[in-house]
Amino acid sequence: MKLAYDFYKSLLLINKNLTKEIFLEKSGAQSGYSLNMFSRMYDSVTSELINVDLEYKKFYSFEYENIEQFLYRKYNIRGKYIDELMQFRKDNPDCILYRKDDHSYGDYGIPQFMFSESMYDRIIEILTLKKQTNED
Amino acid sequence: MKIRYDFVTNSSSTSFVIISDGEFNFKEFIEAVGIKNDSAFFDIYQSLFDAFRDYMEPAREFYAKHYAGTYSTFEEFIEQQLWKSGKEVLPKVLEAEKKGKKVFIGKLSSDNDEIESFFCTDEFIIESDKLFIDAQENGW
Repeated sequence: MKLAYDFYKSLLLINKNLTKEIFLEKSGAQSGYSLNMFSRMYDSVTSELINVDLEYKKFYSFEYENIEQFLYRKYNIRGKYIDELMQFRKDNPDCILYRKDDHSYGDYGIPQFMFSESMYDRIIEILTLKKQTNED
Repeated sequence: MKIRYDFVTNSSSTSFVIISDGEFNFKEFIEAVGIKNDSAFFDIYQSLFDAFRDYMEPAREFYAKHYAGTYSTFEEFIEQQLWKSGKEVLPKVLEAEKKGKKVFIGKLSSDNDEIESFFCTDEFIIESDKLFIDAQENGW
């Protein structure tokens, strides 16, 4: 799940077991241009990720009584989106909450395309390893 | 008089060159792209193939039709119109023509759908024994 906040910044739920090898294997890209393209997608989505769970625990847990309050007050996330994030995480307990600058990778086109309407559901399925988690 | 308001966006188009040993066909294209047949993303490369197929024209016809008034020779057109890789592509084009391979040129546009728009603004080469596609000239 990806949730935009502020200016070109996003919260992302990504499965803790995801690696570049798994991402590429699940994309079906095995060589040539497709492998290059999906490699850049993985590098883009994982570039400069900040673990929000750790950030909260380490720096803000004394200030906010739970992560929901932290997201609401520190990042101005609306309540209904926090509920969606928390519900998604409850359904996918292996996912870690990250935040990132959408353009940290330097290639503007790749992140824009991978979260476009045509790609979003399929990319999220890989990032969360949702099918695998449900089958498990 | 026209005054644009609200978001103002610019559009882009990217020239591509296809050198194909025989007809430009989907099977060889997919093999060169390197995506598995059962990939959930297979369709985006189908879209890319369709866009190439729809917009490509035989290279010399493309030059004569669209650029003969701008460039004095076909060679000059290849070298200068493909501003990023023209100098490297030109010998490949001439060699391919000598060997009887098919050479096509066309343009992808960012004005159609988001899949074509991405490929239009990406810079890439697709290459195999039978196929060479250069889409590095990114006018974004």
